[in-house]
Amino acid sequence: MTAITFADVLRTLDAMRAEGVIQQYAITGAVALSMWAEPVGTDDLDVAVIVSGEPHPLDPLHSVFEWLRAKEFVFQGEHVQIGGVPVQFLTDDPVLLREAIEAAVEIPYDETSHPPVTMRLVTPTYLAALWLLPSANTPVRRERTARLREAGLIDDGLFGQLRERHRL
Amino acid sequence: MTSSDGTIEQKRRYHAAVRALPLRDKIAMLIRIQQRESQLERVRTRLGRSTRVWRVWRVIP
Repeated sequence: MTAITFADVLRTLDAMRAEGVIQQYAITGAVALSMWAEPVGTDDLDVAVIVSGEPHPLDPLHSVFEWLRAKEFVFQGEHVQIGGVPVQFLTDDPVLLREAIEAAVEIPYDETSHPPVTMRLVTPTYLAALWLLPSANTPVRRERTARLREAGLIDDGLFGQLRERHRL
Repeated sequence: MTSSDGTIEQKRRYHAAVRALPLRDKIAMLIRIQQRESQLERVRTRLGRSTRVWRVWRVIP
């Protein structure tokens, strides 16, 4: 049996994009923080997506989950097991998250593999802004924002604009 | 420079070096952290202190 690698998870996300299931994706949450600053413990990989076409009104991730079911990925509660990684898919709601997906950056993950694998990450300033949303503003998130700030990764000009525009 | 300045400077250099690691190395660190948390959680659960079970990422970076 071939070993499962994290690159396979990224290839699956690329395949979803290439097959038109999603327009775009971006890794957010603790894994994005881990890539920008230092690795922190987390139990899942958060992936925010912009779904292609008109999303299902009651189930915006319907087409994403249908694609994953057709490929026989295993669902466990709120997670989908991709490779050996529990992945939680998020929609592009609220608007700030959609903006964060669009502004995310694609960084080489493994340039030695063919074709090279990339990882699309929500940028530090958008992560800090997302963690100011009422549903996310917890002591753990504030500590994470402090890590990004300490590392000099937050663009204060953009952060101020985001706070004002999204009333954070 | 005092010894505490030296410690802070060492930490600063360490954190800067970690930030500069390639993404694959960071994923490797993250998986190691997550596996360690998972082991700790199993011990806590056995002692009746927690019911949370960490999911182990069964992948290689």
